Amino acid sequence: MKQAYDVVIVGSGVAGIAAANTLAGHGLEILVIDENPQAGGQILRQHCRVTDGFWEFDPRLDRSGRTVSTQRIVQSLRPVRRPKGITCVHQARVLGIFPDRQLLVHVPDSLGPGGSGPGHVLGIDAGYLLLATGARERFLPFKGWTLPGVMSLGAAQILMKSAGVLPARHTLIAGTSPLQMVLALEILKNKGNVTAVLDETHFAKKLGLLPLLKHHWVLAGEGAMQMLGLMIRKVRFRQGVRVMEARGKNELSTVVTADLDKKGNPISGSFQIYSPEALAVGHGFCPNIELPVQAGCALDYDADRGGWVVRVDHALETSVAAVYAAGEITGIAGAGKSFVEGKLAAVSILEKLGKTPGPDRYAQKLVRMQKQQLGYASFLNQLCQVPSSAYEAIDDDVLICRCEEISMGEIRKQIAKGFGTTGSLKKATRCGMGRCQGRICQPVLFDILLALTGQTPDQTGSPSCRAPVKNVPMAAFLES
Amino acid sequence: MNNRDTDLRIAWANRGQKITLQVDGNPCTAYEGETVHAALLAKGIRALRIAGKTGELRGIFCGMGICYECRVTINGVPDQLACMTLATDGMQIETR
Repeated sequence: MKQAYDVVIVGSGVAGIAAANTLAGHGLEILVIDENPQAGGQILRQHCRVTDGFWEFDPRLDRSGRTVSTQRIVQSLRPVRRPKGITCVHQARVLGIFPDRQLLVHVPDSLGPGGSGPGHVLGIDAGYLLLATGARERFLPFKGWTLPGVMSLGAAQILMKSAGVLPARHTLIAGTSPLQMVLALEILKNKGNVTAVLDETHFAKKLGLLPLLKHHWVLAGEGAMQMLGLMIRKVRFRQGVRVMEARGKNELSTVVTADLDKKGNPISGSFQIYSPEALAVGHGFCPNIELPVQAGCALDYDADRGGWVVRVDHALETSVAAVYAAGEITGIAGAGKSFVEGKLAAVSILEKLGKTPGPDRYAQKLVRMQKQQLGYASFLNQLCQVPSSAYEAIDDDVLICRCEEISMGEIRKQIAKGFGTTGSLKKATRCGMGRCQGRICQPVLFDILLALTGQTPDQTGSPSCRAPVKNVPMAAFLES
Repeated sequence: MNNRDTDLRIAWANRGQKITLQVDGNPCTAYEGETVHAALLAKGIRALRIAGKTGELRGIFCGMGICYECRVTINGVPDQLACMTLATDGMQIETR
């Protein structure tokens, strides 16, 4: 690795790969940093094996100028020899971004026998920086969500896709996410059992959201086909049902659910008990904005885009000069938008560098495509949204911060005392000060605050993040 | 769960070379290319650490390096994320 690169891309998911493909071949030194052992991010993870080469999307993918489906993106990915000028570093974490795009990066030592160690920290200068850090899942906490055997929908999928391991013999799927059906079909394909799929969203609400799909009927079709697939395989599929509690001593043994009324409130006496080996649950997505926030990038709040997102201009430049953002961190809208934005950010950077980034009016075409892809965001995020009454109703003994083990009762108490912003509530409760640095509980805490105080997002305040944005052993600094 | 003799591996998935890990002092078969968390789960090991205050057991939650619940000691280095680490032959893993 060198000390300086023309462009540094953080994240090698769909947006990062699309950007690297576009930047390659222009005589630039490009560094791609990713914390996973392999490229691909979450969507492409099973298609990207550990390799010395690189990955490329079929260059014809954006030619039509129309909506690009996830399926087409996945199918068009192919391995290539690593283009000249591109360096990839995996299992490395960017700890912070400092003035003039100086990066601190933690690179681990090999974990093989005899090669263990705390890793070391490097300083790297970036001429231009592209942040493509993706998204994670959001959750509505319930009693027992910390039990081994309760995992996110994504975790269950990752186990099968990356390692060929079933999450369990019998898996119950719950929450509000379109990942539910994808996961159920994947489990069945791999000869696992799906105890049931419990979707909190009522069918009537889904129908009401359909007009939002406009240019994206293809995706509605995909959803309908998945639902049909589950019906054919006789999977128990219930809508308007929420997990209220996971029970078990040391490990998950039973799950208690309740039916929801039209407003999303549990109907008393509607409890049911399931006994799966694993519970996979998730309530939509949340952008990974910690690194851009630490770098000083301005945010906007838009529930239809997944909450706090990075503010970008038409060229995808953030409020910090020469720092660009692409993909889920500018708004949750799936792989199609990530692909187009990765290309658009790369084209913007190439134009700044005085290079010709493609055919005439290519940038304008990408901007048009990006607008179209963004249309899917409202549908997706509203589909996953949990009503604020659900946050209000969380029982006092439910843990909200899994790391620091802070309960809803403690949070309620401190909010009642007047700690009404994300910042002050964090300091009053330590909620969000643990190992995950608030990545799981901060979006929850924010929704709890909105629900309990009736404040606007701006009053509650946007998240703050300081370097190092990921855990790093002190020894790694000493080794540098 | 710990007494299962068969594992959760999908029969027809592509696997790398067979390797052996040492998990809490016991040999555990895994395959190259698997992450540590998947190799442990396949053998029914679900509780990976103990939460400090409540003493609750914790296991895989996000599976993608976000939640830090799957921390284990690997080759003597504490607090390594099982979900982000590829298993290698002879790797020493300590849970809890």
